[in-house]
Amino acid sequence: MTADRVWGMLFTMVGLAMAFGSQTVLVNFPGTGDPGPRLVPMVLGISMAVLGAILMWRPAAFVSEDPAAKVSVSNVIEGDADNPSEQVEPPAVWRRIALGVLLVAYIALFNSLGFSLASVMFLAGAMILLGPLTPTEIIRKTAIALALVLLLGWTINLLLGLSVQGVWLV
Amino acid sequence: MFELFIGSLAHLFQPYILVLMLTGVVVGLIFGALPGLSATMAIAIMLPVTFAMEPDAGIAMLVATYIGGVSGGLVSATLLRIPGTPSSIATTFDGYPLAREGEAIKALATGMVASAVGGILGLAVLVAFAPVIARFAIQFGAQEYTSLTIAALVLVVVLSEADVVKGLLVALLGLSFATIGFAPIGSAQRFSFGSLDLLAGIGIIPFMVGLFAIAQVIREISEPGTRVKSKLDLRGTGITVREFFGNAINMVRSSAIGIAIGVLPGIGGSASNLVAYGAARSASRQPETFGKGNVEGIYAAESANNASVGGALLPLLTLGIPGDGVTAILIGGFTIHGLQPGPLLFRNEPDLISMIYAAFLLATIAVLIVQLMTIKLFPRILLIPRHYLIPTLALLMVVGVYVGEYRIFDVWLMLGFGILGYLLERYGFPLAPMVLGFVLGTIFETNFRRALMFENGDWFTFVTRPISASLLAGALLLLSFSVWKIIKSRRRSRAATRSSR
Repeated sequence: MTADRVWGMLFTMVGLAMAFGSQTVLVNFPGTGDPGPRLVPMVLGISMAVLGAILMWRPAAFVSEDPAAKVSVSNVIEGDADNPSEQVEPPAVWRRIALGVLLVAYIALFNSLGFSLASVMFLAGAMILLGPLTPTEIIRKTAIALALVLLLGWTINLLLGLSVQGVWLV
Repeated sequence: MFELFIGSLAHLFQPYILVLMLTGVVVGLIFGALPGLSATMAIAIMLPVTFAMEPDAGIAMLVATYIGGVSGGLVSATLLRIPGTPSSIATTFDGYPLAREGEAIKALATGMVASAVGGILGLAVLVAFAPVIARFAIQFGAQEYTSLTIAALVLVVVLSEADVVKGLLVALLGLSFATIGFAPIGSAQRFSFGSLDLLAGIGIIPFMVGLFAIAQVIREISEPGTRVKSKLDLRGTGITVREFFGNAINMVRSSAIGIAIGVLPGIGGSASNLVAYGAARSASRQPETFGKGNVEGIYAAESANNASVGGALLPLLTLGIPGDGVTAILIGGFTIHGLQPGPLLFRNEPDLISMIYAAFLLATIAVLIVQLMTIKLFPRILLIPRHYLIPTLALLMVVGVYVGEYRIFDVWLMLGFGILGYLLERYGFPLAPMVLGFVLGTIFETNFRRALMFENGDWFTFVTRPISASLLAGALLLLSFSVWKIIKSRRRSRAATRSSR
């Protein structure tokens, strides 16, 4: 419920900001009867603020408990020792953080390094981070990343006719 | 129309379009088969790929990806008891036990054939009813469209999720994102904060790819996943003709359920297979064998989920109203290729409509052929290690979104929406109403303002026109019913707490 309170507060704040912000919109020559460009964002903002407040203050039991709505993919997986699949733990926290940093760096450097260099660095780095850290694996994954990026670059620029900068061998 | 359909079929038989459709089918099947990935994600990734294509080729490829994505869930449902997509949940009930009895091939083949039958029946209903609905919808004015968008949003919120407040909040959030940039009438600048990139508004591609694909990638690396620990058991024989014809009524009934549920916004394939499975069990002579490997259960579940595609396309093509995330992204794809779904489409561009029908039919047949031909090979897709798959998908998303407008800003937006989507879903907010809110936002505001302008600012116009009033009354009724259900369940839980004390 604490999470709901935080979300409720966030929605209320965004809603209020939107409702007030809508009043600063410049109106150009509205037609007869036209409510103008302010009304819809204002109504949306107020509604969001009201519903956010409800989410923030509603009691814990004030949610519907429809069992049909709770059928999800994970419900079906549990139990059965013979099942050929098993659950695996997510990567360690440091690996996840490193992956996030790698993705942000990839996007930031995409234009300056060009498609192929940036993509090989990201793909190889991410594959290495998500798997075992052995020299053989590192070499194998770098080679796979290189091959995939060359293939993708060729597909994008030659096969699909799109124009992306910094594609090797095209 | 029949001549147009045959002409479209012949057009799609051009080698390059066939190759594109086949690629779409295979990509869809892979995304459908792998747990965690979905048809929505497949279309989100394929959408940018179709940018540079001719509209017919691009749309055919998207339709093929959609059909492949819905059909692919069968593989992991049968072999691993993990439905690749929610629309295959009921397939696990009998598909998996049958596979464990050494009849994996029979279970898979049954599902594949049932999927094709369901798909074709769904298409038949689409072809038969779409022009009728379009003729009716052509009477719709701005008032009716305003009310229709409200009704569709309420329907999605009420039918798809237990928590109505959260559903409404994200629907409002989606509508709010649609207000960024130039207003649809008068071009006033809104919420762009002086950014030139935001002035044109938020693109549908970064929004969709972020919400559905990036959010899933974040989930994949931050939550427990699944891995195939042993060799896949691919033994057994195929289906028999007698069994197939013996299930004809079952398939027709299940397809009818699939189509009917597919039409309703917010439910689609995920519920249709469960309802059809229940109906098949009730009608069966051996209901006790359901859940123990009865093929009737597989026939029911798989024909229903594929038939729901035809149902879901009905409101999309005739009214321009998507019913769920996957059709919302599909409508985005259609719009990018210059096709504006709605009743006028049937009058103005019958050739494009017949092309979609033809692509649907061809994709359904292609899915069946590809699946049957690779019945022992394709399931090995489940063995792909996640450390190869996830980075490759992330790379495709970044490149795909970038090539849309050649703007790195869109990629940042995608990342932002991905994080937002992940957090929202993690805390129980459904994403489908948000997507629909975003897609319907501009349609709603344009028609709402237009209606008031036509009537010189008379707000009663929305309740004095019969269709508009009926739609609004329906939405209000649904919302009231949902609130009443919540209050009732709250009272019940209070009473239970009191009696336990």
